[in-house]
Amino acid sequence: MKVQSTTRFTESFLLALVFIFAMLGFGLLAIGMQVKQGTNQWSGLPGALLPALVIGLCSAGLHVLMRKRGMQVDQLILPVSMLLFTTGLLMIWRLQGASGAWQQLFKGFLPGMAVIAVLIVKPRWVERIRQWAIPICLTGLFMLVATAFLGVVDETGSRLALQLGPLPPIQPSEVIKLALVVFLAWYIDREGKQAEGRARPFLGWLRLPPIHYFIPGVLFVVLATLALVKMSDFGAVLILAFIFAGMLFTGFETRIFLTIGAIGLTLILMVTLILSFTWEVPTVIRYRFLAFQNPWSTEVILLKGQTTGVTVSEGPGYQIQQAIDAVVSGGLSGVGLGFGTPQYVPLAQSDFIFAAIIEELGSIIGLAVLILFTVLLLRTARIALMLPTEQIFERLLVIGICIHFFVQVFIMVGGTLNLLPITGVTIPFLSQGGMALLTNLTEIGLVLSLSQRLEVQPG
Amino acid sequence: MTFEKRTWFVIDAFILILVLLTTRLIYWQLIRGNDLLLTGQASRGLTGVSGDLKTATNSDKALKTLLSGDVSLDNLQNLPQPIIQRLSDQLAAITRGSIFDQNGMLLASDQLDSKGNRIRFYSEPSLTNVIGSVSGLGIGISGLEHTYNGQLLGLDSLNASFNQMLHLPVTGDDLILTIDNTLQRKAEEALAGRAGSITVLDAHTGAILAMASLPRFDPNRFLEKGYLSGLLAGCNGSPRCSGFLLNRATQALYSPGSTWKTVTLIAALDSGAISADAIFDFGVPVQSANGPYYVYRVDGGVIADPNHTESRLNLELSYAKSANAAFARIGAEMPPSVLIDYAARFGFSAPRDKQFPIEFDFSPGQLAGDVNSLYKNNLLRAVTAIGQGELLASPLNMGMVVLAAYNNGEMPIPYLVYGERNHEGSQAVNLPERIVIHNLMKPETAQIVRRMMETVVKQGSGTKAAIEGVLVGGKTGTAQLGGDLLPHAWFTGFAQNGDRAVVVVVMIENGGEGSQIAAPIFANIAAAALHQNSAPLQKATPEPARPIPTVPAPTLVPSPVVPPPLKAGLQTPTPAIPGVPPPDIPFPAGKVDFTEQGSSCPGNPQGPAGSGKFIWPSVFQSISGTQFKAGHPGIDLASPTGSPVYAADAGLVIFAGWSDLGYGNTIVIDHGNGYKTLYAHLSQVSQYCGAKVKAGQVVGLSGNTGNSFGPHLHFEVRVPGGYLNPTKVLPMP
Repeated sequence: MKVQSTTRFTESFLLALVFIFAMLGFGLLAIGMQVKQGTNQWSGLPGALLPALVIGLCSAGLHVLMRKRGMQVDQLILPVSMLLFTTGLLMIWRLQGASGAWQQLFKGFLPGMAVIAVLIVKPRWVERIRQWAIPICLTGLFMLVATAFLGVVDETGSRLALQLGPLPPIQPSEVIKLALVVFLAWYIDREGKQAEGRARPFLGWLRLPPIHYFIPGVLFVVLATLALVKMSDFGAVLILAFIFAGMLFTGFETRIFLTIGAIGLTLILMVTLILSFTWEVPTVIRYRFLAFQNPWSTEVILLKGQTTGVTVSEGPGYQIQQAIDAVVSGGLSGVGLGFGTPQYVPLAQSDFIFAAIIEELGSIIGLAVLILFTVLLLRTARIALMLPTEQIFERLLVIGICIHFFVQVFIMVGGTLNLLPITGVTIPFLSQGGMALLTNLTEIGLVLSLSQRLEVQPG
Repeated sequence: MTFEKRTWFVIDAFILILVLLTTRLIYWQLIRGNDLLLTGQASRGLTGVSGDLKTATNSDKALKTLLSGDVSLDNLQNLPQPIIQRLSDQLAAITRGSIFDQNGMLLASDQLDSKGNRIRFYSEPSLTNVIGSVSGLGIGISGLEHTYNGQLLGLDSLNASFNQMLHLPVTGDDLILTIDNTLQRKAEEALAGRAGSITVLDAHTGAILAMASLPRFDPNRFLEKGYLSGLLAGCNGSPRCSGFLLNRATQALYSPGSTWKTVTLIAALDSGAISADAIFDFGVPVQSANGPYYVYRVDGGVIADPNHTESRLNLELSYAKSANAAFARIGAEMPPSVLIDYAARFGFSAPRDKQFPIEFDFSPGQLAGDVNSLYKNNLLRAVTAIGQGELLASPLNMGMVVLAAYNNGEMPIPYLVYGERNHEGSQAVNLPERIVIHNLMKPETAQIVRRMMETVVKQGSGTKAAIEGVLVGGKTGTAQLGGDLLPHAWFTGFAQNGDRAVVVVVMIENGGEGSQIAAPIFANIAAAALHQNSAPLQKATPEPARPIPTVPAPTLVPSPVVPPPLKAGLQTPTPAIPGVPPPDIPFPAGKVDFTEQGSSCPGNPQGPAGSGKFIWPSVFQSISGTQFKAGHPGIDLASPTGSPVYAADAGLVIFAGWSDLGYGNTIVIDHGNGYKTLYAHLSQVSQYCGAKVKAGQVVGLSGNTGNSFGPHLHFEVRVPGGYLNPTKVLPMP
């Protein structure tokens, strides 16, 4: 079939806007920083405009590629994700300097764009992923478990990254989320219909499929959770739980999901009850919860009955306080890029980047970021809904990716605004972290690749 | 449910979550933002000074925490950098409200120093312990600055939250105090350097007209490195000296001595434990080297009564002559619950929910360390009834007893803040609701007590408190401290002249006999207070202000914040017309010598001599208003409200404040070489009387106060015998 190239006018226009935004942002940032240091304000400009050029070139390349492939959907996903990434990169440059931004570009952005290009050119690879789902997921799981026991010990004493020979260290905790999405999509596609067909009435209106259908999914999640708890990466556990629940909900008939949900909740409650009687709740979780209740609390933290001399407000509450202070001082319009003090928020460039954005760019931009995520969510969900009904794997894959994005935003922004207890999670596209960005861009690539399969290709 | 429906369900849930996140963001920025500015420090102990003078150690402790922990600038650096940084950034956008006395006299205001830093300037040092001071960050840490921190920073309104959110400058609310500055100065003079306090209350409303407390510190030097610790070191551990951060009139607790007999009398009469015509027989006096004295014995204890020579006295004279034996007996024979009940009515050892709703720092009194011990211990009860024992009272609390008796058992809660003036919108003065405590005693009891208080002054121990032609009643007190310490001298009483009445409490620490030391001070201050305010307070306080004309922000002040335009000229009835060039009305004919008339500068300090060469008092150097001519002995320079006014030459400030001659807020500088210069219609007076200024130093901000029809600076040069045309001595513009 001869491919008819398309214009994709909306996308080109929006990408041009993103490019202008990037040029302006990096230019102003460079000038502002030079002025603050008292040096010649133009001296830093060429170097600062390079990232903008890289972003512009890469996205233009993808755009041309998609035109050549004759893709008609979806003209919003690429510009929106590029805009989010640019905003994040601006803040990383401002907080970490040029080296931090270049690291992000080289370790996350460029490989990620390459993956997207490959996935667009080779749409059949998604089919391969389905065929090889089990080996892929098992590799991911194995790597996670290996990291928990053999990973590189970082400065905080936890093992989060795996060093494989000369390759840069990888963080399997980012990959495992995508692996779970793939696994659940594959499993529901394969066994879902059968499970629903063999479901038996359970407590009246509810219905429950035979118990052995649960074993693979539960096993996967339990193994991953154990490894993540060993790494004390509670944020990832939370995300896995949300993805699990969300995908089961969309993948199964609601009545069955409700049954499973009720059973799951009961189990969690029982386990919690037993844990609280026999062992103590892990201290970390307890104090994170205390810090969530009142970040300014002056309660002294006890460790195994010994006082540590550190209060909640100095310990786990500190970063929440700082994040809230930053959010408050930002106001509606922000104090100006380069003129605030977001560096006082611990991990401002990764976990708490949303606080840094609000402080310097204002809550208008903060809300705009949230709205951009909503647009991304709606557009990906739209692709899932437009895919042919029988392609259950593909549909669930897109829904899972969409859930993954959003849950991560919710958990971290909620943590920053003290709506949820704090857990170390990155915000997709914004936060520093090469592996996380690579994963997110891969997900975008999957979605774009799948969008080529749409039977109808409306604008 | 189909796949589509389930997907939409998930999407809806996510959008709901987004709304939740947005709401939370708005919550932090708009609702919690402002109080976070303050609570953030609360958890770090950056808050007020409280404590009492009950024991020396307590006040020492309060002071030491103050010095070691939190306040002085060098210690602020120990706080985590983010807190200081963000806080100072945010507070930098706020102009703290000013504080005025009831006549519109400026007491405290934000000023810019030569480097453009905002500093808090206090023009009335005698109010230090009432107004308090602010920390280096600009947060109030003691006195009214602490209590009204939220209002002064303007952080108590949603409007301010919006401004903060939009990074607009915020101006805090102004406080208008009930203090009368002239009376306040008289009160401090009357203390004559002795440790103690004088409180003057309006007897009808409870408004505090003057509140002097010594020793004090210099609030303008509070943040100076080493200043506080130097003061403390200078005390050599003397407990009375080291409490200089406390307001002795409200926070210090003392043994009230015989002034307490008023409470015992009220309790006994009101409960019916004794009738007003009871007669006491004191029996046989004990002989001693100092002459005979009566005693009252209870439970093996002996209470001496050297205050009178008569062996029989009725209740009225027992009170008037302060007969210990009589009141000890009343206390011992009265049901304990009555004493406890009436003490609690006046706030002594009252349960938490029954304590007076006083808006400023106030230490409630204590009847006994353990109130229940009064039930069994008759001796303690007898001793308590005459104001000794474990009793502790603040001077204001004793004043409130008199206030209740004067008002027939209805006691208005004393207040210091007449109103708050918002800088946004209508600029109306917001008057808080006043609270009156009802039925503290029966009106008949109050009448009897009042009559007996008058007897004290007519023929009892308080004869020295009498004022010619004025109805005076009161009670002396001499609180024995034991050891070699001189007793505390007390006098609490009221004075009434026509429809004007005041309650005055005089308390001199280790002063000696109350009847000899405190009573004459009472007479002096009460007479001054009645004379001073022949008009009731309400008429003297500022009326709701007219809107200020919009003027350009001063261009030369190196700060984005416009100093608050002060409207001390509220008495001016004419509304200002924006945009009209400022004409001026003729000033009173003849010379007006500020050194003789209305000058508030004490003493005759020597100032630096002027060079004889003058500089322009403002950057606006064109005579755009009225020229120098007959009836207008100066020149008018059209300078917008808030632009700085400079001293034209070095000299001594001999007048600073409000002038009733139409000049509005005025500064007069004596240059010591025959020249005097006058700067009128100022919006803000930045120097106090007696300040030594250099040429070019900012003495105020120009404005539109007094008889002025638009913002301008009226500048006069005076020489012995008349006025000089200022243009003759000023350089060419």
